[in-house]
Amino acid sequence: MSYADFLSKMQQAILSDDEKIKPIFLQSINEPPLHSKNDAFGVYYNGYRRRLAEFLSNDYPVLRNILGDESFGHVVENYINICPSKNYNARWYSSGLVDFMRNHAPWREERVAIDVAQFEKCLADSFDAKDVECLNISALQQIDPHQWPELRFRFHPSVFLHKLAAETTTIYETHGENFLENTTIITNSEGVIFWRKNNKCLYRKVNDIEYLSLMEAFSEMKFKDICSMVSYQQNCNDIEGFMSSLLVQWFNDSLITEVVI
Amino acid sequence: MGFPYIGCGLGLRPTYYSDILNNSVDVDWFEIISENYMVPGGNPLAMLERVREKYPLVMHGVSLSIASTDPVNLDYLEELKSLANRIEPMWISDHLAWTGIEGVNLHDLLPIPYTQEALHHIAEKIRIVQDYLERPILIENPSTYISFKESEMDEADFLNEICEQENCSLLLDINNIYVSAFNHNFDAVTYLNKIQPANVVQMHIAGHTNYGTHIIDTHDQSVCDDVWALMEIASKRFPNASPMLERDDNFPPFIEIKSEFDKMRKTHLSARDRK
Repeated sequence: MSYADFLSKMQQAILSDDEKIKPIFLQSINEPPLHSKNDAFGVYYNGYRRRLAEFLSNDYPVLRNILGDESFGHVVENYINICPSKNYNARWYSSGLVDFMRNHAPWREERVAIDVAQFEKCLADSFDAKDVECLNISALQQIDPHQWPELRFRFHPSVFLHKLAAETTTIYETHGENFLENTTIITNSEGVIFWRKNNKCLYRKVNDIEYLSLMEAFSEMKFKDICSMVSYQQNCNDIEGFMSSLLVQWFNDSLITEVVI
Repeated sequence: MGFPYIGCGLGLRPTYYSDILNNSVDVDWFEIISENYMVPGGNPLAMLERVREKYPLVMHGVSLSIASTDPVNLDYLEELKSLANRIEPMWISDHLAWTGIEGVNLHDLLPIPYTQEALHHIAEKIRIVQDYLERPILIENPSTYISFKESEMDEADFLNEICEQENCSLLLDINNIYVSAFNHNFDAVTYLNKIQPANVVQMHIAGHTNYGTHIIDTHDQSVCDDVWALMEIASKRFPNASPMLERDDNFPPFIEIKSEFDKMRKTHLSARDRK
């Protein structure tokens, strides 16, 4: 057997549940002194599944709480079987669980579970997103106020904005204790922004207007056009004051890295 | 090879960041798990840079997959090199193992048959890696739970041959030798005596879990007496190898890990003196 064939057979024997594959590979290993070949190989076979399950369990503690150990174990087992890791860092493998749940039955129907997982993924993604210097509000003072309507903003790589099922934030903050899914949670939603400041991951809920403003700002819409959009949506008398306060908060939160004219 | 003796090291783990950064810890250097810092930014890299200001660092990887038949992952190597350029480690190491083929990663350090074909394949990959990184690397002996009928030589001979062919060096894991010796019923001291002393730059020591029928290299226990004894023999045979204590799970308070580190340093230094 060539070296390449040997590795291929061993990998198949670890990944496959097919009872015929493992015995073929076991023929190539020596009898261990104190236990069986099957038990010795089990260190690798079981270790693969246990290790990935541990990564996922560590990265999604609240998802595990709301699903319960059995259901969580079920989703993890399916994810591992259907989507073998192709990442050298298990951290990136773990982040694929949310998309897996969105795309596979029966979890694709579980909006709250998916959104709790999304919440935990956003915190992880913020945690080690790229470092970029943030601007403070004084950056605006250096720009001629006449140019402010033309401003566009760029955001820190750790900033993520999502519309999640209502009460997802509360579920996260209570670690999913006493969680009971109900129709109100599923049909309503809440906007949540995630980011990192001073190397700490932060999040807060945003109302519909701030959510829309952020969405447009992310797409680099000009400030005057965001104001127009908000004015139209909000029917707001003091649109300048309202938008100024939002902008100040974005700067104070360390969300903005660049102002482009 | 030009690698210096740098004293005794300890594994840098996030759980000990505050102990290490808020105190003056008497450790000569720290070893990092490279992949934990191969991230775009944030707290891991910020902490690493603070530790680097105070201590020399060594980079130890788990994903190079040098024994895989897949081509060398150049994206991985580029990130590894970028981290090395950032922190200027004393050296970079990884394992004589593979983690998967055809793009799959099994997140384990998988064993190989010790054949001439494997040796030529791995030697070629080490050459590519060393050329890319523009530095020689250290290869660590793995702990293994199965051995293969096709093997044509033992692990010690295989490692010596790799070093000779590719001008790389060894990170000799003393606990791994003990674990594999138990699991495959060979003599650990004979293994140590076969390893060429000039090749050994670093040593690892760690705890394991003994299940009676087999031992697993878990790094979640204190170092056992048998491994301390083997370490003493290794320190006499490889006096220029810098030892390092690993702990990766079931973390005790820092004072306990430091106490175990002090025991390692004392054992190592007294064995060196008695050589």
